[in-house]
Amino acid sequence: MSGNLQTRLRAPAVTITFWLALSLFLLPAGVHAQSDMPTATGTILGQVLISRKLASKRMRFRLYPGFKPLPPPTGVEGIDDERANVVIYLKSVPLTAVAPASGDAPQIKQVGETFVPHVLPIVQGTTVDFPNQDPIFHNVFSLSGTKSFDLGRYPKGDSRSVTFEQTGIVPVFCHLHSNMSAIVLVLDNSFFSTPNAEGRYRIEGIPAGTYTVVGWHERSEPVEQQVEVLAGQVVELNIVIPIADDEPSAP
Amino acid sequence: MMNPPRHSKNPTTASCRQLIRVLALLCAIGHSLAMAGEQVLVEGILDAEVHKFNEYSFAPFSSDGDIFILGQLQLWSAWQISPGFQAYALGEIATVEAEGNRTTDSEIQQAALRYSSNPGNSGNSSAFYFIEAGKIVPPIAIASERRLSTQNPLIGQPDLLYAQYPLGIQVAGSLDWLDYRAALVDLPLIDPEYLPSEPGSALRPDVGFGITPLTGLRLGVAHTKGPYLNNNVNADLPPGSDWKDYDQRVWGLEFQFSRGYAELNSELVFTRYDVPFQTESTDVMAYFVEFKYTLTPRFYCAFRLERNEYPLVYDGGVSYWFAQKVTVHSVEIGLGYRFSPDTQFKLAYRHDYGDEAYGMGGYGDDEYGGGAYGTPDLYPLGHSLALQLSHHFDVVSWFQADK
Repeated sequence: MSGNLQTRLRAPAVTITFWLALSLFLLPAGVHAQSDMPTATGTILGQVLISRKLASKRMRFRLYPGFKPLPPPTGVEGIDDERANVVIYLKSVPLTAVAPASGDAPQIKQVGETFVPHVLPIVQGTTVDFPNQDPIFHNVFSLSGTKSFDLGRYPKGDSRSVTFEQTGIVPVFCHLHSNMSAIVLVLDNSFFSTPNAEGRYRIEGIPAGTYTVVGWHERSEPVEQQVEVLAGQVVELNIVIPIADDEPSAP
Repeated sequence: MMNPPRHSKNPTTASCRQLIRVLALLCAIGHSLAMAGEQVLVEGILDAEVHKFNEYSFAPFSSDGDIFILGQLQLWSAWQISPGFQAYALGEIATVEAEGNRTTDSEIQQAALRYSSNPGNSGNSSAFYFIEAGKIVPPIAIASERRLSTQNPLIGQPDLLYAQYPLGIQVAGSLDWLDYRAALVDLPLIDPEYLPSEPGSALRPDVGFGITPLTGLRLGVAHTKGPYLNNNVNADLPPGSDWKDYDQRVWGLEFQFSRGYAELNSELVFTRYDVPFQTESTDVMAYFVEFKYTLTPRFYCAFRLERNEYPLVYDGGVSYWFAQKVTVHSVEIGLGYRFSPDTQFKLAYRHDYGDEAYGMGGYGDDEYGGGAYGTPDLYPLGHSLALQLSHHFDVVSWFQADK
């Protein structure tokens, strides 16, 4: 009796083990097949040129300075750094091609009374951490229609998190320091890139098809260009983000 | 919110035009410099307020039960002259309408040169100081630095230290958990409504320091001493004395605490006045406790409890000086709604009452529904309801964006 019972109990276990092993065997193969399909995807890369005016620094000034030092000037030291605030992304990507968010939660740090990074592109559904690394309080908030939140005041070493469920632009501010601002750009797909210091960007693994590539900067109208991505091909596409009466910078 | 009209100067159309020209010039300069990529800032706050009082309200605007409408523009500009050096100015123009009368007032409230030890190179530096000289906000009252409508969680202002804009020089800064400030200014922190005349110009020291034992908690003390009368009263003073012989001494305690969604600010002030022909000084005490709590990202609520003892110093002629204390308690509760980070709406209710209703007809009759001297009903209960819409704007940013 006990032997039969043992057999009957063992039988499903063997079955489960078999299918689990089969799944484990097939799953990486599938992932591998998907990620190793050079004939199914292509790459877009290129140079980002931006207007000099987009890199203009803002003066730091407090009418009532209190007793704390002024933070560094807003903006960046030069046009090269300002390119870090540009996001190149694909619009209207088919849902089947959308890659899920992965990896550690991205962060917007509060350091030196500045949000770092100033612009953070994410995929919808991503949770962003807001750690405070300053020896003073910050009060991070947003009143965006895409996502409104108020994280309250918390000290150095503490962090709060926000999950962004909807796509859109979420301007982020600090109640205590009006010169602090950041932007979370919530996108519906993971095909986006931020240019490096030389202004070069690269978006890989794009399924073959025709897409609208958008060059986005917070102080400029989005620049859109159509591009056809061919399987296994690399498409070179330069993005110029102008302000009407200013010349774009040389790379 | 502007200073109470009952304290304001007579409307001067010429000065309004002059201010508008100055502000327009600031905008033009801001535009030019923004285009040139220079270091300039031009910002402002536009306020619109409606107040409704009952007859005996002690609210800053007394309009005997009428509706009171205020439109106010505050505009400030700053230039980065060189690393560390900044020049700045703040002007205010306000139009009030009550009982069918419209009054416009304008004032350059602050205009100074400032040097900062840290011109913005390191936000994490533990040591910092700045020196400024010109027309400044005196460093005695923490409330004065939170007077702008975008900083003030309510519509009314604490009345314990009246906002003056003296000429002076100030040094302030911090060293780790210690902060300090010292200034020489030419005006006292006093409401001229309760004095025989506007205070005269005379240098006085303002000093203070504070400690921040932990993030979000600050304790501070402050002191100032100096003349509060002016030379118009010299003829009524004891022989051989001068108006500068009579001092106002102020001792202040400051308490600030915040954490999470709560913020508490409080100040306690003892003030002593030397009064001519009086053997004993007149001592008054005032305090406020202000609490703000953020309910949602857009909604917040706040209240302020306030107790003010006003020193009614009366010059009745030679050898006939006396001072009376008038105590007024106030509570203001309010609700705020943020349309955007730069635009907010407030609704506030204020209730006033006096528990020691003594005064003089000359000061109280018309304005406060008062009775005869010494009658206990000089300050009956009063209340007011106010709405405020305020918008902060940044002129330079208008010219730096393409959208």
